[in-house]
Amino acid sequence: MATIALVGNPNSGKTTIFNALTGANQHVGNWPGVTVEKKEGKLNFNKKTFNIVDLPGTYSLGAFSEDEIVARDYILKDRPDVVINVVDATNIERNLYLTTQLLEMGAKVVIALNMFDEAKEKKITFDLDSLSKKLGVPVIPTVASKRKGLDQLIKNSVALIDQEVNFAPHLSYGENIDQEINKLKGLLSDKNLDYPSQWIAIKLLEGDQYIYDLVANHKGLNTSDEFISALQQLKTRAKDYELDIVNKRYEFISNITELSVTTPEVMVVTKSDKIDKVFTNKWLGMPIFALIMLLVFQLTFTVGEELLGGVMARVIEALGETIENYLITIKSPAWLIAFISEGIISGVGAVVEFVPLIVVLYMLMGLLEDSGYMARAAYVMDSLMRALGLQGKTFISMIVGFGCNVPGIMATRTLENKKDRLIATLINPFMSCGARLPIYLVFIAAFFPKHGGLVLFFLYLLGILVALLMGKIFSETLFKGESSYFIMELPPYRRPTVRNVLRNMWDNVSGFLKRAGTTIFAVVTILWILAVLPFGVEPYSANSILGQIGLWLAPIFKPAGFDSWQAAVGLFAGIAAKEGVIATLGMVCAGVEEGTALVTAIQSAFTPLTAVSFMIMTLLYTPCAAVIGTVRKETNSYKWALFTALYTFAIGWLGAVLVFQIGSLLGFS
Amino acid sequence: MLKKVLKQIKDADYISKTNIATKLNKSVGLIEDAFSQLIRMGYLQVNDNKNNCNSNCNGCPFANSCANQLASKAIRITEKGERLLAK
Repeated sequence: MATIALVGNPNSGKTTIFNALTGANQHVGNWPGVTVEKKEGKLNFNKKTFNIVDLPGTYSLGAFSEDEIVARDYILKDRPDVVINVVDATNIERNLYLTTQLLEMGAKVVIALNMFDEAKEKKITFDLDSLSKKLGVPVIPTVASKRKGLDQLIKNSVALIDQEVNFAPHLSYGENIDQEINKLKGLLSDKNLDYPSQWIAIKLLEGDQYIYDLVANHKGLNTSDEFISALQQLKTRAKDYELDIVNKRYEFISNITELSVTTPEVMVVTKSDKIDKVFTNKWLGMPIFALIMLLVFQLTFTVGEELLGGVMARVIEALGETIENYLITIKSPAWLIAFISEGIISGVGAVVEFVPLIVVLYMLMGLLEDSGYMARAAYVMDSLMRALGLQGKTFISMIVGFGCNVPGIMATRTLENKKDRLIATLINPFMSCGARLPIYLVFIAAFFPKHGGLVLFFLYLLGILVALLMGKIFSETLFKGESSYFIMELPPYRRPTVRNVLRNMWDNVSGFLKRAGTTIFAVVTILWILAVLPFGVEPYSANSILGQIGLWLAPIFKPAGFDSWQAAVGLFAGIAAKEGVIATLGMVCAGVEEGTALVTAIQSAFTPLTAVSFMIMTLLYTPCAAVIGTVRKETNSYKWALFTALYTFAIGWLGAVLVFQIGSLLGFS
Repeated sequence: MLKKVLKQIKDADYISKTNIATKLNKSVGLIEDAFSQLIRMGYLQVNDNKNNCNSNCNGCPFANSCANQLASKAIRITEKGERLLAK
């Protein structure tokens, strides 16, 4: 039974053709020794049955992936009677690279110029006769999705089966290389090799290690001194030949397409490029980025607070009351009722209350990410980062850090240079993560409700500036040396899809809720126990264990203006998890008196100035335990983990003290 | 053609395959292929933000905010690439 193999680039419509030809008459297995899927089927045509093999989609026939090796080995060793090369008509230049390699193999090729209708829509026209003549193979236009042209394709393929034709292209690789090919062909002839000698010669000149190993282990060749010597000489020159051979293939393709394919004038400047001229402009890029972020934060408050604000608070309040009433009804012990209503509802509830704002913020961030703008933001920051002696790609890990510092630090793995990586790791905790958001939101609601967007913007900006400043200091002190230089690739802008934006938002919000239900729950439980012990003291008072810890820590923060034990214990809890700050304040401030809202409690415990210094402290001070653990893991050093914990605390404390002291001197309170 | 693509990358502030395709009068697809060839042959090095994390995303609590999902790519011309450009 004759065999027809299908080969083509990924997404060229190869499998659609395979399915159209074989229908249900197919079976799927694996290629021997590899995990690549093997699809075979039967085609009945003109009362004859043909075996159809769908080869893995590949851009070339080198030895760089299992797919490539499977496809090329099948064509060269199993020698199918005909190879149908499925070519995407809308992207013919790229697809013809594979065609060129097929022709080099001497395979009997028929080209299925697929997606012909789409090419027509894009006003790409073909001189099929010229294309066929230049390539030396039949070219059949097809629209596999509509089963158009398939009969013609099969008819031409079947007609080739018994024909003796030479499909080798008239491709010269240049005088030197052509001479080398002929020389090698001479040495390889009559050696009973699995592959055609011309093709082996080309592959040896390309430096294909797979073929080198093959010939080096071939009994007829590894005993030939002449061949071994030729091979050794070739190894040093092959790397240069490789570039020339690939270039010649491109030249061959260009010569063919120039005469046979007409494409509409390429738009000189695409929409993306036009937008980028403004968004990535040397002078405008940075202010535009700042404006966009300001708009994001302002919208977060306008939509999140004014439209959705209070919804979650009312839900939590109602839920809390219902649970408390139920516990009273079933005569639960007093400690359990206190734990649930004053511990969990006040603590975890204080964090969950801000979900609407987080929903809006991450939806807007998702819009920026999905549109392709965030890559521009990274590019805009790239020049600034380089000017500071930092690797531009550090900003990518910083952007990731906005969600959570743990993956932000893990993202520094993409930086090759050890110096760049360590700096990026050490400065990432200054990027304000989502867990810190509820802290700002409470303080903004308490003191700056009309300027929420602006305050939030400046906090995020301050985080970036401190990170950059510390990066600069580190690169000039601890880690001297050159940064590696990368050029960013900007993907085209695209219309954000509702699905992607919602998924991005949900991923972040669900992560936030999950943490509230696990980590924060655990933190609140421990803190509640510390807040009600030892027995006999007034719960949540300065006499409790938690109060004593707070009283012990509070003097440290006196120069920063907030020396209450509640604030100190909140910051202490924040080292376990940043949401712990608000959960603790919710429990020790608001939870003590029923009906006292956290915001009101904060208003009585802080002033606008101490609120700012407290927010700066929470922005910059020691990251949570998970982040410190990640620093240890990523740097493989307890020293750097401890350093991160201590130096960030010092920076946070210094920032808070400076703000409070300077603010006080200027007459703010 | 590959050297021309490399030169375009060298001279650019950022990489836009559309820009390079327009300047060299080639299709974007062909430029994409040229990038793959240059990377394969070691003239370019790509940093595609994949952080070579060994853990399984399904079990990772940070999978949602992982850098692997960020659409950003950076490219560097290697020493071999610089040598080719200097020729």
